[in-house]
Order: sequence, then structure tokens, then C-alpha cells
Amino acid sequence: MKPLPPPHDSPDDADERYRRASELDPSRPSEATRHAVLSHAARLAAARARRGAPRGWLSLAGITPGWRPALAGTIAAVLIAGVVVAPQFLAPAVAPQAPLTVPPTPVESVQPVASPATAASARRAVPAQPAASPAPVAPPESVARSPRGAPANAMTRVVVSGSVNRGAPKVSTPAGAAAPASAPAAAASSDAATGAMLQEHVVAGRLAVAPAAAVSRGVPAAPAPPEAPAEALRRAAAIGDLATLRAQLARGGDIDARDAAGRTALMLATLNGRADAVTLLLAHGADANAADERGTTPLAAAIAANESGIAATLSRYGAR
Amino acid sequence: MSDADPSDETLIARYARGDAEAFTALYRRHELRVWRYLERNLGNRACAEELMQEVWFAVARDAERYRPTGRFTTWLFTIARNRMVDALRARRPQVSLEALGFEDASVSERLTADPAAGPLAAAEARDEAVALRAALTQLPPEQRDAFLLQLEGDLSVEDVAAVTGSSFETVKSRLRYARNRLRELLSEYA
Repeated sequence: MKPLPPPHDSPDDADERYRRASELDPSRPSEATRHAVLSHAARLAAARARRGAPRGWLSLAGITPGWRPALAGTIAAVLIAGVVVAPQFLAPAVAPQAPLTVPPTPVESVQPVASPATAASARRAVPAQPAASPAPVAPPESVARSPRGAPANAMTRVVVSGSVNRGAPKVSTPAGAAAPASAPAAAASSDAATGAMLQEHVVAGRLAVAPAAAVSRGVPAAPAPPEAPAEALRRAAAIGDLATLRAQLARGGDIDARDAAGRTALMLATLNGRADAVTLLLAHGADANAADERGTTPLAAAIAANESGIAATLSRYGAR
Repeated sequence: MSDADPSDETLIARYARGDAEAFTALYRRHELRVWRYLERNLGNRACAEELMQEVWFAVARDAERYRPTGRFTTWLFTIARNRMVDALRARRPQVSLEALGFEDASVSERLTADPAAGPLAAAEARDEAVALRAALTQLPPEQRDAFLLQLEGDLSVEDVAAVTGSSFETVKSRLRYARNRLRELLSEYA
């Protein structure tokens, strides 16, 4: 009977020869691959370290990163309003020449300005202007309708006696009507209207209104701020601008930065069918499972958009 | 790895908590093993480079999900093998895994048959490293895969069986055939 060959199950000379030969093999991954891997890992580690750090007061208050720009805008609006309005209370040096007969109104009556109906009822409660005032009383809509109806120089005039601003926020000159110098009460009423509007903006947290109003009044506008890198990255991904996308990726910013709707550059590229941008972002380590604030993942978006190629690419990078 | 060096499992846990240096150490420790596994299985440097990134990206991304119930290298080479199989299937759906293109399938034949290769190339052809590559390409894919998993991943037969989804006996048989064939081929090339 023919004997069976030796089994060679255990490590033997074949293994030794393999290892020896492997040592002589100069083949290595490229430096670019090594750099890509390590930089990607470092980015993820930084994100994890941030996540694992002690939670700040914003997090404790339940304010997610998506709401932080809105919060910052509200705070900025409050600060701007404070700078503009505060001198009314701190510097009463410029007193109106003519006595103002408008009695102060409690602050509580100012608060409902945001509601036109409440504002109208408050207006009815304000005593009539003195007969000496030539300025016509504006219809109630002139205040509540739009801040653009404010006088051209309202921003500078708002620095007047606090009693005026607080006492007559509901009385205003008609839109665009300049208060004559001989009619301080009218000027005061237009200033009061501006003050009310500012307060309304502050209450509503609409930061953009104040600079826009300033521009319309001839205040030199600050140059538009340069586009943020994260925004530029998302825009390049959305429109499939690969050159810009590569440039932004080379800058090394947060590849998974989100817009107000929680969408990453990868999600925007997916939604717009930018297959090349999707591949490029994934190759640079974009999170294939970064869902937007509604919980939609890039893969779900690709499937919904019938982008089978993008869906396949996402799946290959671990998208679920 | 000296006794003072942290284990793979310690490093991946540290990385999952945000320690980038731990990942760097882990990568440098296993870079060459994963590279050899991919490149020698694929026989294509460009594909291996791409997959190398994918594998380590996956390791980085899923580090938080790693549970030290098994060895890190088993997890690592499971990822590497899955990525390799997925990529091959996605890119060459019409080609079976048996017939995957190995660019270097005839390294030794090319080097010895090419009259323009010259004495230097002939000398290189006798080089043990070249001979090894050539020998590996002569192995059936399953045998080569099992052999590389065991040698580069330092995996046991049980681990190779788990990674490849094969039975213990099947893997044992593949490894035996692979070693016998390699021994023969390396003797020929030597």
C-alpha cells in the first residue's frame, strides 16, 4: 500500500523561507497612502476627543451645535441693540428742547410690540399727542409693518431721552417722513418707533435686519466676510467643483462640517448627484453615515434620488 | 513588540477615546502585514494602495465598535479580507474570484523568458523575494488567501476559518496544500 505523504500541518521550512523572502521584498505602501490614513485617523481622533471632553454649558443646556449659529446671532443682536439703545439710559445730556407731554408708559406695554394686534390696542391706550405737534399721527401699520418704513436717520436719532422711547413706541411719523427741527415731538416719536423696531428685532433674534437697515441709511457697510472653509467645501461638493473641493480638503478643515440643516458636504454632493465629489470626499475620510438633522443618511438620500452609482460607492465605504 | 509596548487591544481602545498617537503606533505595527496580505493576494499595487486606505479608514471609523473578545489582528484581517472581496466583486463582477487577474501571475516566466531582460534581470529572477512572489501567484486563490492570513496575520487555523467563513478542516487542508506547493515552487526557483 502506498504511504500517505507527510501532512505538513505545522509551521515548517516553507514558512521560514516565506518569512526570509518577505524581508527581502522592498514593496511598501506609498507615503501618500500612509499620510492619508494617519491624517484621517487624526481627524477622527480629534472629533472623538471633543466629543469625550467635559460638556460645556451649551451642551448642558441642550443646545446642539446646529443651533449655535442662531444663538450667536441672537446674542450679537442683543449686543448691537444694547450699544445703540443703552446711551438713552446712561447719557441724558441731550434733552429735548420742547417739553414732551407723552407720559412714560410702563415697560410691560412695550413688550407686545411684536404682535400687531396687541400693538394696536396699546396704541389706543397712548394719550394723544399735544396739539402743538405738527406731525401727523401715523396709521398703526407704519410701525408694525416693516422696519424699512423708519426715517432715514432713525439710527442716529434713536439716542434720545429714554422716557420718549419707552413712552411712545407706538406713535410714529409716516414712513420716510423726516421730522422737522421745530417738531421735536415728531422726531421723538420716529426715534421711538425705531427703538421699538430694534427691540422687536432683538426679541425675534433677527440679526441680519440691523446691518441691512444700516446700509439702507447710508452707513458704510463692512466688506462681506470671506466664505468660511466649511461652507466653501459644502458648496464645492454640491456643485461638483472638484478643483475647489480638493483645495478645501487640502486645507484640512472638518470634512464633516454641517450646514444649518445638519447636512455634510457628502450629503450635499449625494443630493446633487455629484458622483465624483462623493468619491473624493469618501476617499478623504468623510463619514459615510453622517445623517442630517432629520435622520436621513447619504445612502438613503442616494437611493431616494435613484443614484445607484453613488449608493454603491457609499456602500463600499461602509454606508448603512 | 517588547513587554513595555502596549498591546494592540490597548492601543485601539486608546484610539477610540481620541488618542491619535495610539492609532499611529498601531498602524506602524501592522502596516506591512496588511500591505503584504493585500498586495500579494491582488497582485496589483494600485488596487492594494486603494484598499489599504479603505481598510485603515474602516479601522479608524469603527474603532469604537471594536470589542476585545478576540485578537485585534483577527478583526483587522477580517476587515482587510472583506474589503478585498467586496472591492473585487464590485469592480469585476463578470470575473469569478477563481479567475481574478493577477498581474504578476507569470513574474518568473516573464523574467526568464524575456530575451531583453539581460543577466541582471535573470539575477533578480533568482532573487528569493522575486521567487516568492512568483510562487505565491502560482497558488490557487483560496490557498494563497489562507496562507497569507496565517503568515501575515499571524492567525491560527481556527481564526483563518472564522475569517474566511470556512470549516476548520477545509482551512487545514488549504494550508497543507499551500505549503507543499510553495515548497516545491521555491525549490524550483532557487
